[in-house]
Formats: sequence, C-alpha cells, structure tokens
Amino acid sequence: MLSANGSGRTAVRFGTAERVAMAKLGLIHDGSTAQPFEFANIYATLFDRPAELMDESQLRAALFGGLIVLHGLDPSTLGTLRLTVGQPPDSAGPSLDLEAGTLWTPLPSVGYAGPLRNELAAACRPGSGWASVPLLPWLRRIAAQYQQGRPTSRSDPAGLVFVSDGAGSGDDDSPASPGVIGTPSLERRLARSATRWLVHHGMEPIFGAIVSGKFNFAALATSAYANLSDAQLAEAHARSAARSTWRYSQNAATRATGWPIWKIQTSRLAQCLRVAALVHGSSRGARH
Amino acid sequence: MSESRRFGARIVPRREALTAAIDALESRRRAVRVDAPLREMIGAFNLAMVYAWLRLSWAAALRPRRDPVVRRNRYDARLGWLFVEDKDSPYGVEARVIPLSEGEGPRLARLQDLGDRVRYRLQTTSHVTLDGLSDDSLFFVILGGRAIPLSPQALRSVLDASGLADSFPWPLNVPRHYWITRALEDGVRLTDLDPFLGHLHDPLPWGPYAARPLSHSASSFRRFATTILKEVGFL
Repeated sequence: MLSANGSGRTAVRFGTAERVAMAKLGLIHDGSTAQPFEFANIYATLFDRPAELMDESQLRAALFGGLIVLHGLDPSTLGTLRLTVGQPPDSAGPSLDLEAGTLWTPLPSVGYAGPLRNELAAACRPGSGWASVPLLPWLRRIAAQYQQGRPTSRSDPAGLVFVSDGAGSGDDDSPASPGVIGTPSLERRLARSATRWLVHHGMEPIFGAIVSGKFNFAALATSAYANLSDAQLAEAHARSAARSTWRYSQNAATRATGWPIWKIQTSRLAQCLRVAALVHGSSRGARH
Repeated sequence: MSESRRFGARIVPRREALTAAIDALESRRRAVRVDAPLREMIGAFNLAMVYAWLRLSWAAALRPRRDPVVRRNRYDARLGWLFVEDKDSPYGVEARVIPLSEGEGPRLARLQDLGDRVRYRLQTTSHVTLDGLSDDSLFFVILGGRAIPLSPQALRSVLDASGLADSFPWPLNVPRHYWITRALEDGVRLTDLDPFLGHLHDPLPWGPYAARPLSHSASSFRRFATTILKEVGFL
C-alpha cells in the first residue's frame, strides 16, 4: 500500500530525522530544545523576590516552576508528586519531603534487587533503590515556606504536593500546574530541555536522570552499576545548575539592554552572579 | 543533611574488603613450575589462572558472563589492546576492543606462553584430558582430571579449593560496578569509558560519527585502569 505521499515510504514526522541525526552525532540538543532566552523569561518571574516575601500561590508556583527548570521534572510527574517524610514506601512514585528539602526518586531495578547474603552485604557499600536528591538551596527555602502555608490534609487527602485549584488552562494534562510557566507543551519542553542544559553544563547524564526521574537507555545502564551519595549528587547538580543559571541570567541581561555580553555593565553582571549563587547556595557556583 | 546517604547499586565492594581479598590471593600464589609433580603444578597453575583472570577483570572491567571472553592471540601485547566478546544479544555477539594499561599486554603474552607449556606437559606426561578445551582458550584450569575453560563456575571451584571463597563473596561482575562508581566520584567522563565497557551507543569512538580521536578515550581509559588496579591492590 502506498502512503499518503505516494512514494511507498512511511511519512517521516517533521523533526524526527534531525533528532536521529543529532543523536547519532552524540549531540544532546535538537531543534526542540528550549533556548536560554526562554529560561531567562521564566527566571525573571521565579527569582524576582525572596521566599519570605511570597504568598502561598507564589510559593506554589515557584516550587512547581523551580522543579521544572532546575531539576527537569516533567509536569506530569509533578502532578503525581506525593508528600513524604523520609524514604517513601516501596510502592510509591517520586515524592517530596518538604521539611527536609529532599526529592525521593525510585531507581530502576536492573539486577540484585533481592536481599543480599550477610557476608556479601558486609563486604559491599550500602545502597538503596531510592535516590535522595537534596533540593537546590533556593528551592529548599521555597519548599520550607510552602510547607508552612500549605493547606492541610482535609483539602489534600491524597497527599499530593500540588493540587489543582481549578484554574488550569483547559487543555492541561497536568492538573496540578499552577500555570506560571506557560502552556503545558512549553512546560514539558522546558523540563526536557532543562536536563539537556544541565548535562551540557557538565553534569553526567546519570545524575540528570536521577534529579529528573527520567531514565533513558544509556542512563539505565549506568544506574544499574553506580553507587552514589546524596552529597555527591547535590554538588554535581548545584554546579551545573549554577552554570545554567549564569547563562540564562546573562541572556536576560543582554536581552534587557540589547547589548552584547562584553558591553554589559558591571552591576548587571553582578546581578547575574548573584542569581547563579542563589541557586548554588554559595559564592562558589558563581565563579567561571 | 548531616551525614551523606548512599543509594544505587548494592554490590559495589568496600575498598578495604577488596584489598584484603587481593592480599589473601597474592599470599597463596606460587611460581608455576611446569616440571613440578603434576598435583603441585596443577594447584599452582589453577591459582595463577584465577589470579590472572581476576586481575584482567579489574584492569578491563569485563563481563564475566560467558566463555571464552578473551581468546588466544586476540590481543596486542605491544600496543596494549584486547579484543573481547563478552555478551550475546539477540542481534549477535557484542564484540569490542579495550585498551590495556601498561604491563597488562605482556602479562597476557606470558600467561599464554605458560598455558602452552602446561598443555604440552598434560598431553605428554599425564592422563588429564584436554578434549573439553578448544585451541583458542587462553584462560583454562584443570579440575577433576580435565582441562576446561575458566568459566565463572570453574573460577569459584578453584577459589573454594584454595580456601579463598570467603574472601571473594562478590559476583564476578563487580569490577564494572566499582569502575562506574569510582569514575563518577573522581570526575572521569563516562563518555570516555562507556564504549569500552560495552555500553555501545552512538557515537562510538571508533565509529563514523566520532568527533574525537580514539587515542583520547583510550588514554583516559588506561589512566583510570591503572588507578583502579593500584586502588584495589593489584599494583
């Protein structure tokens, strides 16, 4: 049977061929990757005031948006993100401990999932099927503030972190979305692209997979082997997030002034550094 | 968080347990004298083969899943390259080359030479049967009056007979877990290591889309292999 174009070949969806070619070349970006200016636009909203000065809806929006642009968490995952205190039960999905500022992500189990013999366990490092991902400092403060003003369990019996307030855009398949980022498709694209930019700025793909809870084939292979610590993960994440943030902030500064980066005033550059340091939690992340 | 929590693979060996095991193995090794009484020669040879295999598995992070993983003459001792076939998939055998760190190639050549002399001794002056051994087997042991390729099961039998089984409680693929874990801790790029570990996805360092010379990844792999061999006690 001939296809619609009469050539006998299956029609190739626009963009697929280029994505395949770019993957072959080992490039992490393709034509669908959100660009720095798109992140810069979001940052201007998310970083415009300290957590202490935000009201409840702003905190909710900042936490939701922050988990998308700083962790790469998909909006659909955020829609099912559950509250937890400490490690969640085995059957749970990704969960958030607001008080500790820790995101819990289940790791794919490839082998050796059962209990180990005592003599083997004693000769091995401790491990777990749950990754504990410390939130970046800025998000941790947001999470702590959000917890204080969050509605009680009466309005949130399922224990979801984000509950729909009915103000969605209608075509939204992530009902918990506060809608601060934009359309659902933009949110998904930003989440996908955030992981790419984190990897682009030096983070190993396995770390990107863990902080976002998205495992592709390559990350799956590595995750089956690696034994990691939350401090190691936090450091790698903070370093790449600060680099990404620095780049987005630079982009925002150049767009605001219309000048190339080498013409940007010192005060604006200092502001970029402050934003990057805010994410990292110290001044170290701002040095490049 | 006050204390760092660990997660992920649960079979990554503790370094101190590993070095103790390697020390125990080293202390049992004896020089293999081909003209020694048969029983003595077989004991020393089996342990030498197990030592060589374990050392290679830590030097190259091989999969110990099938035999033969490494064949006779499938390496370049001078240039330091090894050809391995350590995994079957529905699409065929996943074969690849692995860079060897300094000194490991000549070790394989010496091992092959020793194996040849032992084969000759067994054929000419013993009742040990060699019908289960192919001509291209590089790693083999003599168990129950038969020379057989060094499978994971045969390796365990030799460790058991040498009283070393308790020192090596780990599955035989733990070098791969240790390698990736330590690489992530040391900031070694996994893109340099992955293709040689058999995680084959584009662009391969030897493929048409490779953007960096193969020698860059190979030297990074060799450096890290040396680090690992030192760390676990083989160097």
